[in-house]
Amino acid sequence: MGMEAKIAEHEAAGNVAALEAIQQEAESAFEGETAGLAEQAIARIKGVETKAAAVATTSPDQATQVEALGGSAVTVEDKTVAIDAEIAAVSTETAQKIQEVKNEATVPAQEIIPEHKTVEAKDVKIGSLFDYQSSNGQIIEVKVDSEVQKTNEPNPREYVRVKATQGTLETDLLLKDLIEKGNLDANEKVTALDSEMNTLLDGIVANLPAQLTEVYNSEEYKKLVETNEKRKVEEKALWEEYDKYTKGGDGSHRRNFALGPAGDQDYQYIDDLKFYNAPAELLKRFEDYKNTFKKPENDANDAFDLLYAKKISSDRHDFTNTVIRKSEALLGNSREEARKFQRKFFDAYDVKLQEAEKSTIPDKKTYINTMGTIFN
Amino acid sequence: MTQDEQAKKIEEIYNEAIKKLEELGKERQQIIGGYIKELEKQKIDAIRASLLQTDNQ
Repeated sequence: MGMEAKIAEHEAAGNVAALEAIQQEAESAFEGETAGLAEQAIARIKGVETKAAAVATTSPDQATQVEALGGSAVTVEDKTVAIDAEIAAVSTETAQKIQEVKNEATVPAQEIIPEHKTVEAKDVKIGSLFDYQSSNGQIIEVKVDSEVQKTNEPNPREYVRVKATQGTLETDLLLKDLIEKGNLDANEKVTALDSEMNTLLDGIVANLPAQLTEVYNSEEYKKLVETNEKRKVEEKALWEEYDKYTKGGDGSHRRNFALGPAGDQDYQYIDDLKFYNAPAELLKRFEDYKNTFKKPENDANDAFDLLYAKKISSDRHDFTNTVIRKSEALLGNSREEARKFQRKFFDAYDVKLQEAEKSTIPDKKTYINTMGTIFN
Repeated sequence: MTQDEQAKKIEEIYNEAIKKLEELGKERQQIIGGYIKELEKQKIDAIRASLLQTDNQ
C-alpha cells in the first residue's frame, strides 16, 4: 500500500499516533511531501477540537478591556453562554458525521484500476472505475454497473452498463470501446482536463466585466460612496477640533479610533479631551460619529466587500468546486499533482478577475478602498 | 465507498466545521465587543456628567 493510501487509512480511523509516527519517519528521511500529508491529516483530526476551544475563549485583550472599564468576567460568561453552547455542538456534530462516514462499508482500493496500467477485458468487473474519453473529447469517470453481457446478434458483441461517478450519465458501452478509450495515459488526461477547465474559466470570465459594472452602477454602491464621503468629512472635522485642544499628540490613537474595535487607544481620546478641558459637546460629536458610522449598515468598506462578493461569488464558488472535483477525480492517484493543477487555475482566475476589475473600475476617487484610512 | 473517497469526505466535513467555528468565533467577538461598547458608553456618560459639574462650578 502506498504511503498516501496508508495516511488516508489512518486518518479515516482517527489514528493520530500512527500518523505522527509516519510524519517523524518521513521528516528523518527528508521526505517532505509525505511528512506534510501526515501533518495535514493530524491537523484535520485535531483541528476541530482545538479550534472550538480557541474560539470559545475570551482573549486576554478583551478581558483586560472589560476589567479596565469596570466590567465583570461573569457578565461576559452570561452573555456568551448561548454561543459557547453552539460552538461545543459543532465539535460533537462533526465527530458524529465522521463516525457515520467511517461506518459506511468501503470498497478495497484494489478495485480501482491503477494509473498507467493497460486495461484488459479481465479487469472489467462490477465496481471498476475507468476514465473514459467521450466523442467530444471530455474525460468522464465511469463505474461499471453490470456483468459483461452479449448482444443478441449473430456475432454477439460484449458490453457493460456504466454510470458516471459525477452526474447522471448512464449508458451501455461496448467492452472493446471501454478498453480502447479507457487506456489513457496521464498526459492525455491532464491535456483534456486543461482544455475543459480553460473553457469553463473563459465562460466565467466573460461574465465578470458585466457583473462588476453592475456593482459599480448599482444604487447600493452609490449610497455607500455617499455615506463614505460624509464619514470622511465629519471625521476630518472632528480631529481638527480635537487638535485645537490637545495639539494632536502622536496620532496613533486616531487611527485606532477610525479603524479598529474598542482598544486602549480607541478611548484614550476621551481621557485626552477631559485632560485638556474640551467641551462636552465635542465628546458628544465623537460619540455620535461612532454611533452613526460604525454601525454595520453604515460601514462602507464592509458593505462594499459584501456587495462585491455577492455578485461574483456564485460563479467563483462553482468554478472552484469543479476544478477541485475534476482534478481530484482524474489525478486522484497523485494528490500533489491535483493540488498543483488546482493552484494553476485558482491563480488564473485571480489574474482574470484583476484584469476585469481594471477595465471596469470607475473613477478612482469614488472607489471605496477596503484599506481606507481616516485621511483618504 | 473507497478509502480515498472516505478520506475526502472526512476532509470536507472538517473544512465545513472549521468554517462554521470561524463564523461563530466572529459572532462571539461581536458579543463581547458590544459589552465593551456598553461599558465605554457608561464611562463616557460619567465623564460627561463630571465635565458638566466642573463647568457649573
